[in-house]
Amino acid sequence: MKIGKRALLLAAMLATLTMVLAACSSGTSSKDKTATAGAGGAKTPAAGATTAATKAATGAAGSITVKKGDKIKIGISTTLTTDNAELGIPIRDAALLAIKTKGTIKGFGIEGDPQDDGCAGPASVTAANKLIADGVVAVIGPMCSGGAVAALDPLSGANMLTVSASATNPSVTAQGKKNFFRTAWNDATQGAEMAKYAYTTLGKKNVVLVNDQSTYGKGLMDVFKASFTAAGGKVASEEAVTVGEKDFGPTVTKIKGESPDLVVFGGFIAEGAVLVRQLKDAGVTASFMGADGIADQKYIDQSGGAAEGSYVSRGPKPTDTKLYDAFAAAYKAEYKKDAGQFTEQATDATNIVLAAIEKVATVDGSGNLVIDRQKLIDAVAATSYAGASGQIDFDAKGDRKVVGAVNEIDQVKSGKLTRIQ
Amino acid sequence: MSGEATSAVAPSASAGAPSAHLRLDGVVSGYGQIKAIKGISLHVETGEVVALIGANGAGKSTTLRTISGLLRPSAGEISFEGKRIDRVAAHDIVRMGISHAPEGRAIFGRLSVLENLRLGAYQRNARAEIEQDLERVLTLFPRLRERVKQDGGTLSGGEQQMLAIARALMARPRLLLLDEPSMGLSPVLVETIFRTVIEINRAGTTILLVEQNAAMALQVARRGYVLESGAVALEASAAELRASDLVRKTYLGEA
Amino acid sequence: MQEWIQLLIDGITIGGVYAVIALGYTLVYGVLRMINFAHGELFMMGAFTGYYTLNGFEKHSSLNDSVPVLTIAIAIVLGMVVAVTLALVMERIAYRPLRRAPRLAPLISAIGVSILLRNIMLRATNAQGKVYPKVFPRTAVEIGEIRLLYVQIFLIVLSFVFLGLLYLFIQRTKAGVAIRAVAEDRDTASLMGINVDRTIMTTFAVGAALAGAAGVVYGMFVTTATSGMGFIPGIKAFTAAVLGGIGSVPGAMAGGYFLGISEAISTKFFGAQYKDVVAFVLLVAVLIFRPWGLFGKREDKRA
Repeated sequence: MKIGKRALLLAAMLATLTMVLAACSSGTSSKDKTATAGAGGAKTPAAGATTAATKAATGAAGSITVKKGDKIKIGISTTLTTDNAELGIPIRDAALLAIKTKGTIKGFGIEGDPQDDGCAGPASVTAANKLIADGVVAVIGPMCSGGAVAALDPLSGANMLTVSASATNPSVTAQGKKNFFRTAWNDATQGAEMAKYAYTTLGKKNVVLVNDQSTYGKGLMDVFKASFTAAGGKVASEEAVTVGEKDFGPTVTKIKGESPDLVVFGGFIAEGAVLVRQLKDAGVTASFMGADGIADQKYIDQSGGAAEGSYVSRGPKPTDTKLYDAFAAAYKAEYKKDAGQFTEQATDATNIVLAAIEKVATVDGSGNLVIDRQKLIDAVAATSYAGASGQIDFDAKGDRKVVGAVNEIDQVKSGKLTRIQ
Repeated sequence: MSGEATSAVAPSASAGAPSAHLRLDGVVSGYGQIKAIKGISLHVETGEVVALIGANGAGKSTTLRTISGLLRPSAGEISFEGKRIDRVAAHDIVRMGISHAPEGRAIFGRLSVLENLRLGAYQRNARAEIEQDLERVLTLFPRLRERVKQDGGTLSGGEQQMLAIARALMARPRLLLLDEPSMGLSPVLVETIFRTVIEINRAGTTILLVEQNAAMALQVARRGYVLESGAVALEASAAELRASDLVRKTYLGEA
Repeated sequence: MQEWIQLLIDGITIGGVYAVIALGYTLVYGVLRMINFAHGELFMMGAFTGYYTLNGFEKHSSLNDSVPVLTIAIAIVLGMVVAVTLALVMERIAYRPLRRAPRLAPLISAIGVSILLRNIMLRATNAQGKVYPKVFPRTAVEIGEIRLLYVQIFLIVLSFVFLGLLYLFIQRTKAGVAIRAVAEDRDTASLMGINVDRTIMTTFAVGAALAGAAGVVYGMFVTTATSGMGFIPGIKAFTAAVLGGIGSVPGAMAGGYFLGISEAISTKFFGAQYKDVVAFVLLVAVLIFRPWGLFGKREDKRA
């Protein structure tokens, strides 16, 4: 039994260390975060490169060969377990639908290879390595910013075309990885737009920020804070919730004590819906504002009515919704569910990848399909695509070029997200 | 006595009537691959006190643990009152009338003396009878009566031994297995314990007694077996054993 | 001052949940020296059972409005039944065959069961959080700035009741004494005529019943059920059980409240992002100075 207790103590100490590190890292700026993740994952690219090399052995270096009769594999790195799967699974479904719709490229079938990236660094690196080992041509994902920052090491090591539909944190593209693009909007824009809207349009001067300790949530709140305080607003306090928890009582009590006129949340649906509900239960009358992580009907449904009136920021929908409506109808026909948040970005990301493959893939003498990885990346960089989420052109960092409206603000009215700006 | 297993129906050379209270026939048992007893045959008749004596590691405790079902024999047969019990679970063997006060007392240290005693009667349901028996064992061991509310772990060694025996009696056994009741006790206490053992036997409980204190054991027992390296080396009446060279030299410490 | 009282109440609310779940860990550890890491998932299954029951009443009857006491009681009982059934099945399939295996084996098996249950529910719900129908009014008692939802009061009171009942069960009933006996010495317990296997099953069942019931009431309080909701309370309750002294029933209860209240207070000081750090620092501190926990007993010397 002595040994048992000692082991227990050791386990507890390790757990503590982990928690401390987690808390510290979420406290650092996104720039530091990038550096840490890069250093931590330093070993993985080598490993990834080795596997990729083995796979590509049949073709020339830096290219991938799909044997005659085989299918073109498209990796999908998204969150399939934990509560965040409620955003992650529709992303996978949208990507799979786009693949199915496309059918074939130059006579080759296409198949999706979805891997669970856990919306976090370690699991996303594992997923990335698995996809590299599986010999995929490109990766749609990773879903979350924290995962993307970490997984980009092995993915760029393998020169793997990677297009995320939902990783919005500025640090993701700030790494300067040439193989990475996103159809999601950079939070540098979103956070600033949210702050502007809150301060100028809504006239809120005293806010409490709450993040879910993810790279995305914390990063978005950092951008908000910078813009909001620069405009003259006051951030009364910055709070955090733990993903997976359902009772935020003490945090809510603390927020109540600050008497803010607005609570801003950076995080996802599961926590957002619970938070808005418990704020209301506690008698907090301040308005609630969230972002693209909760811009989904599920947020409203899960809040049990408490979401009514909350402001939700998201990437701008095109003024012409014809393409979006067509996609949404196809999605509904396939899955009998409404297309949720990020699904239009996911279908666009997949379509861009597929179009690029079609453009650069060549059939060699023995009937195999050869795809040059660099040419594929270059093709995506040159994309100009009118998609369900609007016109997509990439800048040098892989971010979307802003066309027209830079952001959209919705408000929950009668249980529906309704665009108000 | 050879260590060979004999058929269940044919009584072994030394065995008494086939109606023996408890009978072991060529029992092999132990822990895992290590066989601490290698073919033991013995019998206990109704109303007897039988002693199992032998050195440390001779297989005495293993024999008791196998009888009470804590260990499952890998060969041989055990029957009690004519029924096979070698495949019966320990908790059902208690129900059949065998109670085992194990080596080292095995008191539940975090349970009160009273809870320990009541646990002895765990498989019984007749409340009035249980209360009667409780009264009876507390009369037998007045020291325990003063300590009924205390945790078992706070008792002295002698008191724990009393509790172990009293607890075993609470099951109203027809056969009581006592494992080293004198271990670690002062001579005066040993005296008390053995007097009580005789009392219990007179009240009608058959007893199989394991002891290192051979002198004491052979005083209270009618018959005895000497165990050596997991086999029966000698079987005789207590008087004969006391007189035998082997026992005198090895276990009674006489020159 | 009022904010402090409110924080204390918040701490007692979640602390009671930790305490009730922690009992399951501590009881099972007592009899098997094994941490049932799937225990938090029983809590989650309880919450889902509560949701499906209450939602069923909501859809097909007006009983939730006319006799909420009845529908809530039925939901709690069903939550217990489902959790108990699952616990017995997992004991039989995943743990009993490993009882003589090295200690790590049942532990890993438990983690496997935990992942399995979480993913079954993730699939069954298509990763959609379920929202409880409004059975309990979301109204509150207000004293100054202090505000207590009725459902919160219900949760707090019910935790106390469960803890009290469990304590009586363990201390006063024959089955309770049998559990304590098996926890102390399995062999000797069987010499008393105690069916050890059945007692271990009883232990699993009792722990599961508590977790299942807690899941339903907690589900009503937070109004949602998700497949991942058992994980964190499970880890915290485990921490509470170790804090109080694993194997000790009063320890698990005290550990739960101690942890809940310290988390609430530390949120005020450091923010919620550090409350887990505070919890684990407390745990390490306790384990350094009292390795047997606040209420645990030193391993007794056995012959």
